[in-house]
Amino acid sequence: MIMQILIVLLLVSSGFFFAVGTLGLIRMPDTYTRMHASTKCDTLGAGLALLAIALYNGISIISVKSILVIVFIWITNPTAAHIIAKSKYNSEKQNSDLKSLE
Amino acid sequence: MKSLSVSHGFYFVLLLGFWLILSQGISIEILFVGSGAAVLIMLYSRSMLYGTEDTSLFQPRKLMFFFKFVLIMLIEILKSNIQVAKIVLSPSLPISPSFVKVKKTFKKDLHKVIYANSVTLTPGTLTVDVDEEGFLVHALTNEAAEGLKDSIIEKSVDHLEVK
Repeated sequence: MIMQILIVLLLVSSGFFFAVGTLGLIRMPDTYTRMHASTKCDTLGAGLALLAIALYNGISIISVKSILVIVFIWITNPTAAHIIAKSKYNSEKQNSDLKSLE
Repeated sequence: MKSLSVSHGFYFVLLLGFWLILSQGISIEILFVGSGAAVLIMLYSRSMLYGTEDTSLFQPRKLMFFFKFVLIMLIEILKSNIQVAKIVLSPSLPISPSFVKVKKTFKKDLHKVIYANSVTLTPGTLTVDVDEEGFLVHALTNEAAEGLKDSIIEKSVDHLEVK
């Protein structure tokens, strides 16, 4: 019973963080700030949902797999955010270089 | 290629273990294919594997620091998510984006990656570029930018590096 309440709580907060991430993606003014909103909230959103799966299955191979998925998401998510931010930064630098030449 | 060492064995066990977790059950075929795949992956990515002098992460003392670091990161991730959620949900959108140059370098690439990724995961900061002098970080708010100086993450990664 307590476990089920915990699982429901985890899933609801996961949905909340996904919703906030999406809202942030729409509301924020530029690329960098959008990356802040979407990456951070997706990290916890996906993490909590997968944690709920792990708790629901108890100690089994499925739980181990979902914990592994959390680990990989938490490593790759900031890396992807870094690449997007860097490409934006580089293209901005290129544009300002072109402008200063004119 | 360097001669076989303890670290190669470690990677082999790690990769094979990961394969066994992903596959259904254990049989001769699965073990055979898994061992072959592990060896191929190690051959392909041998330039990225640690040398013997770099395996210090697997000493018990180091491992303890690492777990402490993971614990700190979990708390920081939770805090950062709530903070960003507050900013997104407040009607006035109280942000003051700015770039900050963090003058801090680590000797090994591994620690640079750990630091950069941790910064991206924590309150209102996003690593944009890495060079010899330090890290270029984009901060969402002024508090986030100030929080970067002598942050708890910086100290933790220092611990990982030195000892």
